[in-house]
Amino acid sequence: MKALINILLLLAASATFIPMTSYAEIEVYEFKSDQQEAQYRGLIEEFRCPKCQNQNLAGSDAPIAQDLKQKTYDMIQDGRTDAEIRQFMQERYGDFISYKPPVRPSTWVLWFFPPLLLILILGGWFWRTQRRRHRSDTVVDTSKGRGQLSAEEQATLDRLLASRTASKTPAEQKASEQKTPLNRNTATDQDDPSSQDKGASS
Amino acid sequence: MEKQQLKLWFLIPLIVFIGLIIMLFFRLGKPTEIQTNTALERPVPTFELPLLSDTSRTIKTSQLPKKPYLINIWGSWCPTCIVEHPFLLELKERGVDIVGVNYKDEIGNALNYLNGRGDPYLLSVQDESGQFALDLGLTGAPETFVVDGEGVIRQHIVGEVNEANWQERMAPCMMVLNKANSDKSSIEEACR
Repeated sequence: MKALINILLLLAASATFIPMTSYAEIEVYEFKSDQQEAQYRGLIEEFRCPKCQNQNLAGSDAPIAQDLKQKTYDMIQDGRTDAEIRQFMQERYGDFISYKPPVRPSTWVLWFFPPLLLILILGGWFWRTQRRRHRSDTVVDTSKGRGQLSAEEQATLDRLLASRTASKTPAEQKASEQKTPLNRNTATDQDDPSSQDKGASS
Repeated sequence: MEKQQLKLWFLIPLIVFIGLIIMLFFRLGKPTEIQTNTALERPVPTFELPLLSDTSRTIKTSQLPKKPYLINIWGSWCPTCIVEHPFLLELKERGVDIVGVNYKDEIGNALNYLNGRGDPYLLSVQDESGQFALDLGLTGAPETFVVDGEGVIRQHIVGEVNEANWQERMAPCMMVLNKANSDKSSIEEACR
């Protein structure tokens, strides 16, 4: 389990830190401030090229992408906010233009389903492990030793085990005899809650 | 009991897989390109652009035709425009008004193109910066818009215009728009 968690952490880390975007030609825009440049970079990373579909503006050289970058730059020079520029783009190219679609009822599934699924899975996993731990605790309690069985129970148990051994094919029997003597076999069975259940029901 | 539950858990990947197969199967053969049609059902964006043949004169939105017509976005640098050009000439012959928007082009190349291949346009304007095209929600050239008599955009064709999509999509739309009193639903029906 620890290994699994480590792998997951590693994946998460690589997704965050290794930039997956490709960059188009070197841009020659001049900005009045670092803040404006950061605004520009943020927006062209966020906007999708309407022509090339799966590239953002930053990664595309299509004529339309160049125009949209120019427009973004011009609007930033005019001192427009991110929200205003986003609205300008969205009026012309719809929700498709942004890799960050707005949150509204029609996009709720998109935004909230993945975290919900994660919570459900983690919750389910947590619940299962809790329950299993609880079960195995009770099993350990009742199986402290064979001495607690009454003579009658012991006889039933021996008979059951004998019939089980007898029902095996000769080859299987031979194999199991070589591996584990009968007594050890019963001991391991008792540690396992599933076969304990089965034994009780049959 | 536990064992059965365990079996169920192991079945989950298979169920998810089958679900995926079903989902993907129904997407087979469907276009994967997303087309944005934000210009539809809206008036032609206001513009003031230089006339291609005489850039000292400008054309305004109010000077556009008052009956149904096409707006065709083109450039001499655009290979598909060259492909569709003969068909645009053919449409002119059939009496269809086309307004040409020369998109992000050199004026000399554009004029040579029209002089050499023929001019299918009722009116040609120059959109050198691509600003008007942006307002139309253009993704590239060529693109063609069907506009009704009130100046509202009714149809958006991305890519080449040819006999096939003219017959299938554009001609029915133009026909309804040309009728004197078509109601809204029949326009929408014909211009999808």
